[in-house]
Amino acid sequence: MKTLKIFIIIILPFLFLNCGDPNVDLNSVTYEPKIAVEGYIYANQTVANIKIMRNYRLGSDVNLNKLYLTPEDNSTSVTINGTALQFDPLTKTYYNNSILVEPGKTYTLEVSAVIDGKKLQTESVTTVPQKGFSILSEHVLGTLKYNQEPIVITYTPSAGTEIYLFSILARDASVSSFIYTNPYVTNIDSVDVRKNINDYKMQYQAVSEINSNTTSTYTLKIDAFRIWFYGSYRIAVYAGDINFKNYFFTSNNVEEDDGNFHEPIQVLKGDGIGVFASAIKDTIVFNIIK
Amino acid sequence: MTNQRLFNAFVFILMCFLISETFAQSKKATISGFVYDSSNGEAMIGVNVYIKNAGIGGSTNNSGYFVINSAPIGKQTLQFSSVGYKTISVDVDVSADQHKQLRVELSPKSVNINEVTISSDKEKLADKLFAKPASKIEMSGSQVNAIPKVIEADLLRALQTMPGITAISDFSSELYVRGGTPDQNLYLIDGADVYNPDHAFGIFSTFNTNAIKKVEVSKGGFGAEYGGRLSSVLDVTNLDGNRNKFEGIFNLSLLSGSTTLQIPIGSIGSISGSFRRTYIDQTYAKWSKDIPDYYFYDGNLKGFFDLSEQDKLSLSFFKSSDNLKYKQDKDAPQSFGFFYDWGNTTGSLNWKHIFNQNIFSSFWVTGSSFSSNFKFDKILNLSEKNELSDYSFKGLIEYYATNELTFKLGAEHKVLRFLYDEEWEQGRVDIEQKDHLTTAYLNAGWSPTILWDFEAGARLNYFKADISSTNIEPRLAIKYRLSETSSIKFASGIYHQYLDRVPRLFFSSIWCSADKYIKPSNSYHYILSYQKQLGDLLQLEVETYYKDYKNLYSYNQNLNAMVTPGYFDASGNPVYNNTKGIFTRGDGNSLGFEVLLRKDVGAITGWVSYSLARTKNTYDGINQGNEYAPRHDRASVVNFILNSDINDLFSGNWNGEPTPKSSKWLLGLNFIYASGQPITAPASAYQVSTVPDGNDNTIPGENIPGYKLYPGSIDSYRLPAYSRMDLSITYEKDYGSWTLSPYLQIFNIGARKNIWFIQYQSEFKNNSIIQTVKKVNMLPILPSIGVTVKF
Repeated sequence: MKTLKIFIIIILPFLFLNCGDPNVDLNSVTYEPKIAVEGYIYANQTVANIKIMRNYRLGSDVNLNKLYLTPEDNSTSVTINGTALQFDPLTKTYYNNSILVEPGKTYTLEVSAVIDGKKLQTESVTTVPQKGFSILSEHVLGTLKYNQEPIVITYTPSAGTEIYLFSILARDASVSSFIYTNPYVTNIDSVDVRKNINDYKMQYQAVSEINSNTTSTYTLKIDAFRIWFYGSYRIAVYAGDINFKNYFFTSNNVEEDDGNFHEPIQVLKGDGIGVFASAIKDTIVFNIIK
Repeated sequence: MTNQRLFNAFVFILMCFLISETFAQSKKATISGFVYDSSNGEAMIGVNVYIKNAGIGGSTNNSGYFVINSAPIGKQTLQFSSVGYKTISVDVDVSADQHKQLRVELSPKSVNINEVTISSDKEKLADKLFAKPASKIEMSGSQVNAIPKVIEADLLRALQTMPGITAISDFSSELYVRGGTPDQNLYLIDGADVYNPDHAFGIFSTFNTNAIKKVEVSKGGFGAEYGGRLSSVLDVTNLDGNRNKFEGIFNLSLLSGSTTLQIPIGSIGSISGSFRRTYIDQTYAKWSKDIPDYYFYDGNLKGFFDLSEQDKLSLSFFKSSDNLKYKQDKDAPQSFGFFYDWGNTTGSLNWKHIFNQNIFSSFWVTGSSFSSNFKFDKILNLSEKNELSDYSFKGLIEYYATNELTFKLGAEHKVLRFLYDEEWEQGRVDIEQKDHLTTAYLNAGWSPTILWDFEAGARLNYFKADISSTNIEPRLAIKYRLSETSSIKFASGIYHQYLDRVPRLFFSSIWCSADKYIKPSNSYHYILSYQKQLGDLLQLEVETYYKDYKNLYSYNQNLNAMVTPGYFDASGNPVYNNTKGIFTRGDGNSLGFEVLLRKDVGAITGWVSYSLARTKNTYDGINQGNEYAPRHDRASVVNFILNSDINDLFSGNWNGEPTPKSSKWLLGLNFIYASGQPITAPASAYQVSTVPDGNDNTIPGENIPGYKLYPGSIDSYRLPAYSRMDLSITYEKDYGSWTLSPYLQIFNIGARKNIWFIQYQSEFKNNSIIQTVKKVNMLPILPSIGVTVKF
């Protein structure tokens, strides 16, 4: 009996420690303010729509009026190759109509701002791909039957291009135009479609491993499972530089299979996150019917 | 003179010396021989051999062989002793220059032996503690089986209960030894290297515990006879086979059925064989659409042959295989699905030869291969092939110069091949590497008095791939007896590794070797150890260590953006044919302190341990170059293991021999506590779209732009601590010629919801993006039953 008591006294604390449902408190995760840049410049266009924003702590107030960094509120200064950009209070973006982006040229973005009383700086360099990329205009796609006619885009490459990004937008996306008879996802209803409509509406396909230093033409067949709606489609094709590629491939892939996070490839130095990249852009449209 | 020619010259000179020594006339009386277990004929390792009244002796090596030089002439009495066996005395009569060869058998202790045996075990225990190198763990197959398990007995999971060896989760049997990663551990089965030794996506290892004769684990500071890895060595020796009688075990659990049989082959040898296979694919998977078709099997076959008094031969073969066929929607005509199979095959041929009484040799030819194949079914044109082969020739000469001085000289040549081939519609990965690793080593062991023991050695490596690398690895170990029952030990060494691994969740790791993009890695070990026998049967070990790493390679999480094709094929598709960009280079260090209190003898056995450790890594381009703790870093770990006959436990018979009876109830308890694992959590959000015209990651119904998450400092957040207790109850009934043992195992008896990882869900609420955490827990309370039959 004495031995049994000793045994129980020894084992009880272990049993006590072995129970429970531990909590996770993320309030102790360290937050650092950063300058968030969304800056794309395109060959043969002026500098426009450069967004300079801030990040914010998870769980804090998302005040859209305070999201964008302005010269007035944050002492924000934005230059490209030393030339200052102007701020448009209507669109809350920075621009400069006197800077015409040229293929093959290098551009340096420098930003400084004050966030939460802290002075931050960041910079990034992008080199625009060489002249050459375009979608071949004789291959206008027109109207195509769903899952019976392939969607093939023919294009010429540009030297200095690291990625060809095909941004596929269903312009008539809605719960009623969704293709419920698709062969890939069964048992889907309008509630599921409404909940995830943006994921179905906007699809991307990227090519990054072709030899851009040739005069050959390339074709890309759009994957059949990227078409989810009947109606009008617009594909914008970007021949992007290394920053474009690095940001596209890594910015959304910071969470690993086991929930752990890692850093994306840093396109901006210093206190910046986001993207400053350049591209040559072209567009094609078509319709999908039954 | 090139490195290769230098090495060839060294081997040639060495062989000349050995051959001359073979024919040299000895003027000393020498006693040598083999020691076997009388119950099964297995050679016994580490048996103490002592000449009474002469003060000299030795111990058997890994093949059960011993040598005593300079034996006194005339009638002598040799005493043979080992923990758990009856001590016996053998009388011999030797004359000058005579070499006496013996064949000795020790019997396991009968349960009727009284306390006198406990006292003699006490003396042997102190010697056993001193003889053991620093940081070494030894376990038998039966000790592994006694630890409460997750459905199946598992060697690697049993080792996770030892100090300095941690697990990353309940779903992984991989070993993280003193801050090192699993690829830094050398796994050997009967001398052959094993790669990716796991079943069921890492939940179980491929080691069949019923086939194991002995397991030796060195957590660091290992001697010159081992190399090629930065952290540890796990050396498994399988059963040779019962040379006296037919013997077998059959086990049936909720997961698999297994059997091990041992058969004598007349007087010349024996064969042992094991086979295990899961049966879920034939039972549960046929009844439930949610369970995929999956099974694994593994098998061992080993033959041992006594060719002559001087020659012994063993052949060993091992094969494991896992097979998975998955379909997301079994009813859909074109549902997402894939096939995946993987497995190991190893073989070894070992020839032991005694040149003369002072020279014992062992030669191996080994082969090991791993392969995995993955293929999507119809929808996606994607397949993967992953292969690895390792063929080695090894030789070891043990020269017993005197009773105080022993030399080990060895050489090894390894041919390695790695192949990784992945194909998809618009590209391919085709990486093939062929390497050679040639090694020579010399180790000297010197015991000038019974108080001191020195071991000094060095390894010379020559690695040839598309680069070549020559490295020297000095090793040093010193032991000193402070008293009859206590000792201190020091061990140190330099270690190199020429292999790296891409770990994958649930899928087999991909191995590759050092090349022009990946430098060889190295580590330095410094270990200080204090060991003491407490009372009659308790062992106390206190150790502290420091490890320093250079050129560690971690998988590059941003590989898809950074990899560039080696060339383009005829269709203009990219082909990736090198390792550039796969890894991120870094350095690291580990510092730790461990305490182990262990009892291996008596009615109650087990151990309790505590380890305090800290590991830091620094990788190029990660965390702004600042150091951080890796995912497997655990500041504190406590382990408690207890095995006992329930009657003996509650009757107070804690130190005596188990009470003999024809049936008994056996209890097993396992408790573990570990500090929380470090993770990188998201710290902030920002509103930058993935593409210029995109508006992704928007929240349905809300009028705010899409957002992304950005991580905080790398691995700076700690999850809650991990804690678990397991219980096993076995009823053992002895029917004379056979034994029946049904058992009940309860894993995580307290049902603690230990966190495996966390996932995040965003909710836009009250004008804020609220991050809620979804916990993904490890294994819940998991009871399982099974039965073991021994005959």
